Amino acid sequence: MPVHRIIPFSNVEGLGNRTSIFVQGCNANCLYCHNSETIPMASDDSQQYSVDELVEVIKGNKPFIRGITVSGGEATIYHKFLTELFKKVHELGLTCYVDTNGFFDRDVLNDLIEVTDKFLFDIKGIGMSLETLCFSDFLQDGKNIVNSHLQRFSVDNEHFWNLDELIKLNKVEEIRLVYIKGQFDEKHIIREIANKLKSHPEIALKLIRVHGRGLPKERAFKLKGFIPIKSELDDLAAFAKSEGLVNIVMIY
Amino acid sequence: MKVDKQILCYERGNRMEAKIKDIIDIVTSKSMTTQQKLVGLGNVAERLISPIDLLGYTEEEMSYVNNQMICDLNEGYALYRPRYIVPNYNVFIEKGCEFLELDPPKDLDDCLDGLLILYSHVPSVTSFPVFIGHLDRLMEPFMTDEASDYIKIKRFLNHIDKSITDSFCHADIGPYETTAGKLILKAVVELENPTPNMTILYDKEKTSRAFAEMAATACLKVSKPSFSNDAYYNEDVGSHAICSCYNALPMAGGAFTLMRLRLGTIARAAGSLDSLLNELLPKVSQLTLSMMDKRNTFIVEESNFFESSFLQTEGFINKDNFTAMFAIVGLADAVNAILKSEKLDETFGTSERGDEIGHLIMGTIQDIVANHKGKYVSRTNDRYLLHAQVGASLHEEDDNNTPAHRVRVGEEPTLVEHLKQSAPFHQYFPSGTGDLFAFDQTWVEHPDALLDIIDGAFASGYRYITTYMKNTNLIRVTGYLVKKSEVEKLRGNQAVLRDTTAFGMGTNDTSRVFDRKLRK
Repeated sequence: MPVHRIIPFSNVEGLGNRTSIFVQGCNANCLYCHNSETIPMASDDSQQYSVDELVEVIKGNKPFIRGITVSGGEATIYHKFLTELFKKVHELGLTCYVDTNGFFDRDVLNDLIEVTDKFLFDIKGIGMSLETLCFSDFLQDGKNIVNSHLQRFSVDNEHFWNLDELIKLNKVEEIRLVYIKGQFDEKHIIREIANKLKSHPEIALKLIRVHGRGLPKERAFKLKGFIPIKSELDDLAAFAKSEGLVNIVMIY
Repeated sequence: MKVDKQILCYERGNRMEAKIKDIIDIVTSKSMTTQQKLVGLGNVAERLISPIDLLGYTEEEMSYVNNQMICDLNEGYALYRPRYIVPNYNVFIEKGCEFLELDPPKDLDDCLDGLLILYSHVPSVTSFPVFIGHLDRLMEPFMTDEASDYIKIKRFLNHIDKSITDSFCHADIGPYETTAGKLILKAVVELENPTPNMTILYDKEKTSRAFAEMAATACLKVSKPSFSNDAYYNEDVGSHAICSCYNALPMAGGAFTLMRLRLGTIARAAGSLDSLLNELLPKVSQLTLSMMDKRNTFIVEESNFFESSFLQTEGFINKDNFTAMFAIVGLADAVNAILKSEKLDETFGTSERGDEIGHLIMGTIQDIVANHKGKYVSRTNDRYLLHAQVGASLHEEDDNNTPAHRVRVGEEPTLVEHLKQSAPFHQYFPSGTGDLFAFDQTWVEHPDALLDIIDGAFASGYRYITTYMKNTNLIRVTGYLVKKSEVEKLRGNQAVLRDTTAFGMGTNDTSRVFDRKLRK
């Protein structure tokens, strides 16, 4: 599996201290992506690891971490590899998390879901706006982008069904929403999430204000006019609360 | 060996003994408070007397103090009290104090007031108490109403900061979660005072996760409490307290003396690993042990400390509960010197060979100290306890001796490698060692993650760990806290409240401890 970077200790990718593995390659191309260097399937900055090589790295960090989180890129692209990796990591007594955009085919992912302790689920948007926000071939040749995304995600909202399934299996630790103005109906998304979390109030909703800092110029340019101010994030959080969500974390 | 030549190079003027001129310098100082001058004058007086005459040091022993390989931290020669005293304050809670005409406390006010009174009668090398109690255990029986108890506890802690003007003064909390413990943590975060230094005696099996996370958050915000591996120390030292910097010493006792080897200085003089391990290190260690014997003997047999102190007669301490500390400093510099002699372009912290050399040096010292029958230390099986000293700035040689077994600032590996590199060195030091790490702001929101690191460190053999956040005013120098703003004041030659500020300034000038690697 191509790995872009490994962070030995991370405190923001799930519960406790975790080793974060960022895979190289993504099936989406979100305009505001802050790891856009991980989007191409191949990169000079990435390195191929075998399962055993990764297990060795994780072993080295073992006494200090509670588990690992695989992020990206989009981790689920490598579901077969990760299924094998997670089985071995579980033998070390560590938990295994996956950070995902939800753009995956559930039928293919069953084995990985079974060996994943928790998912951090990033809701990228809803409806046709996903086409420009996450599935454009802007700055990419577009060949990575998930097959028949228009029908599956922009029309059928399959990622919401995927989220539903994972919640039912008690496999979700947090749901994230990067708030960007004028791209999708954020209230619609919040209502959907609130609906799903009625019987799972413990799951956190992380609302993240999109920002242009640190983005490549071409990407930052595309965000102009869409960045909410802090009070707008507060307003959205208040709305989430009014919809019955209790565990809300705001990142400004 | 190049040693003897080097000894000859030192003029009598470099001796640790004091001179009359030192008195004038202290009296006319512009940056010392009156109280600091008084303590300073006392220390000069202790060093005006030759240890050869009073304690029976040999000329050879003294020559190794004067050539800076052995450092006595200016502890003095006319000894009149043990260096560190660890009173059992429960005696006061149960029986009151006859000498001070105090009844056993009936409520929190009695308890806190009585403790403050006691503190002014507990001596040490600094003349201030280095241990002020397992505070939460002392207070817990008197808790009534959280809101009013909190006000009292906060006032008590602030009183300590302003009256015990020395941040080697140390309080312990834990291992169990208590109301008092939580109020103490809340108060230290609000007060942001350097004093008292503080440790949570932490044991995963006994300490609740919530209490430990509260302590971890406080440690990031105000650099205390540090975390002590309580199970480990209980195994080594039995009933104990963490006092001064991070010294684990027997309860109702303490340590008579602390002498330290400047390993960097010694290794450079030895020139090779073989000469160091087989000649110079055994030589210097034996001389140190012999001087420690003489110091302990004088305190017990000649000073009449135990005969004149109510702490002894009323059972706060017992002279049979004391030990003495054989300390090292500058392991990194010693290893670097040997690496250089082996023509290796590597430094301690990131060198496998360096770790090997470090363990050879510590193993040699450990054997020598274990084979020496000490004087008046039955409490620790007639043995002196090894200690990783945090450094000081008494002589230019201190610039060449990094604290304890720490990696030189600027040469640190990544956090995970650093933890793994340092952990195996903790085993050598039953009377205390510790490492400290600077973290960034994000960890304050995630004490669970920080606690995972602490748990991992203890599982790997750590005895003691401290964290702090970079860019706070309150900063841990090596084993104690100073306010950066006070250091700047002192640099401007103004008097400041705490004597430890001067040590902090000196140590930062020599080891750049304000610039430790930031962990993200």
